[in-house]
Amino acid sequence: MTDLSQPDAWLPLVFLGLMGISMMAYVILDGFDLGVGILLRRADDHEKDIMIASIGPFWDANETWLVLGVGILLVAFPMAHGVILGELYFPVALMLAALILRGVAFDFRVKARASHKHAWNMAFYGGSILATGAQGMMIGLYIVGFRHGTPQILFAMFTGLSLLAGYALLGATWLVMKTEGGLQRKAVTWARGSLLLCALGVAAVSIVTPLVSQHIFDKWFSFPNLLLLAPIPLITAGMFVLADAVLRRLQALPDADAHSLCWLPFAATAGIFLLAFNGFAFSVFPYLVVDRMSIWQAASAPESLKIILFGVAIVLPTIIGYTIFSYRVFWGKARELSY
Amino acid sequence: MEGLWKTERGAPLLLFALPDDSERANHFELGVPGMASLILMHDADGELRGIDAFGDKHPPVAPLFVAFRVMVGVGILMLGVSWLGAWQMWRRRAPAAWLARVLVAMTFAGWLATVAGWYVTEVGRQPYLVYGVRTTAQAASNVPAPVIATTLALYVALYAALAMAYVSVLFYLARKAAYGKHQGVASVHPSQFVQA
Repeated sequence: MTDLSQPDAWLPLVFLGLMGISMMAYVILDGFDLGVGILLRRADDHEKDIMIASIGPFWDANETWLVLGVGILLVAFPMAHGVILGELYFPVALMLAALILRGVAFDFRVKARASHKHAWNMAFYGGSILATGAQGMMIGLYIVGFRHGTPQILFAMFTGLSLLAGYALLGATWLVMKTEGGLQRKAVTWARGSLLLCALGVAAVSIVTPLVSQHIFDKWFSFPNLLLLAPIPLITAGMFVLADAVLRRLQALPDADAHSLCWLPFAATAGIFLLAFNGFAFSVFPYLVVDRMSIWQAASAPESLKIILFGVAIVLPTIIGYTIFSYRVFWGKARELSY
Repeated sequence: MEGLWKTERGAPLLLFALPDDSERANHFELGVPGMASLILMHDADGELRGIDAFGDKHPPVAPLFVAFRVMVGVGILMLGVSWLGAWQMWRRRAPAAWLARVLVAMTFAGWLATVAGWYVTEVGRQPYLVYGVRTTAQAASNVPAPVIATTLALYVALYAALAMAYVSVLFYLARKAAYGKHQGVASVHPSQFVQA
């Protein structure tokens, strides 16, 4: 299976790459809008409207990445899809229920009676928390190879909390970039709070992952991998320090609105997620189910993969294209959204 | 779908019946003679294969039979009401008050017909999931049944709550539109929305 000139060897690799891109895009993009939902309860009513307006043009397009990622898992790696979604059945079901509630609340909070707005805001907040927590638990259960002992469940609950902090950080730094005045000031405080929790989460997951599997441990702590991979944790740490430094500056300034660096904390956070994701992917590779099923064992027949590749070659550039377009159109600070 | 238990020539189009899966027969049949053969074979005397031709590999007949008639019935009803509405708009420029009420009552008709049609395809394919290749039992997940039941209950509860919220918001918005900016110019009198 290592002769990469053969289609049944390289096609699964291509699809793994495509699935990785989709999942990573999902985590960063839907991460910031889920994060804004997580922070919603801390804002006053007027600020809530601006927070929602700041994610209004993007949030539902962000979720298409999840559909694409899981879709690729289903069509390209049907065996792994069966195992992974079977094992994660309950958190996936919870996540979907939460995303449904959140999607409806997004629209109804402004369309329903004004007296119900608070309840819909709470539904949006609750849906964001539940969806994020469920996703975090999925990551934890995936890393421990779906074993269901007490330590594994505790670890999954911890990754759930870590992802809540991570998405809150993405959401807060997004607001630092996209809003002004009092709300931006609050967002800087939220970002600094979640930064510490997120750093703890990333560190803990990085320590636990190699301990779960001898195979992963050997990959990271053998020579020369140890040196070659050192930049991943080092740059991640650097990103945390950088984001913290900029947030401190912004907090000290009397008027941070027009500060030319207000995009930097968000970019640094996205960088942290990017590096963490790549470290995670490197740990697990070439398995799709840790230490049990490799990408080649899980893949569809090469004939099927070739046909799907044509479809993906059309769909993926289209999604990337309209995503870039919509972010360009709605560039700059968010104002109020009304119907 | 035709509710035809035994292979026969000149099979009737059953408008109503109560199919009985244990006795493998229909009760209270009401049908148009030869019509099913005419539709499917283009010959009123054509032979149609009955359910007996498929051994025990056939879906439960009653739900399929009823779902198909709900789909077609609601479809014909929608067609009739829409033509009636078009006729009234053409003759009187506005639908009558009673027709407006009927239209409100039929808000979910399209949804009902779609779901009934969906049941026809899903139930009609049983016992297979992929017709002739893999049965539903072979493809079922090994997630424990209580977990499936819990999540099903969760989704049903969520959708019931959201459906109620939807209807409530729909009426709220309709009233707002009728009394708000369109007041005086609306061709439909606002009083029609008050009791509905």
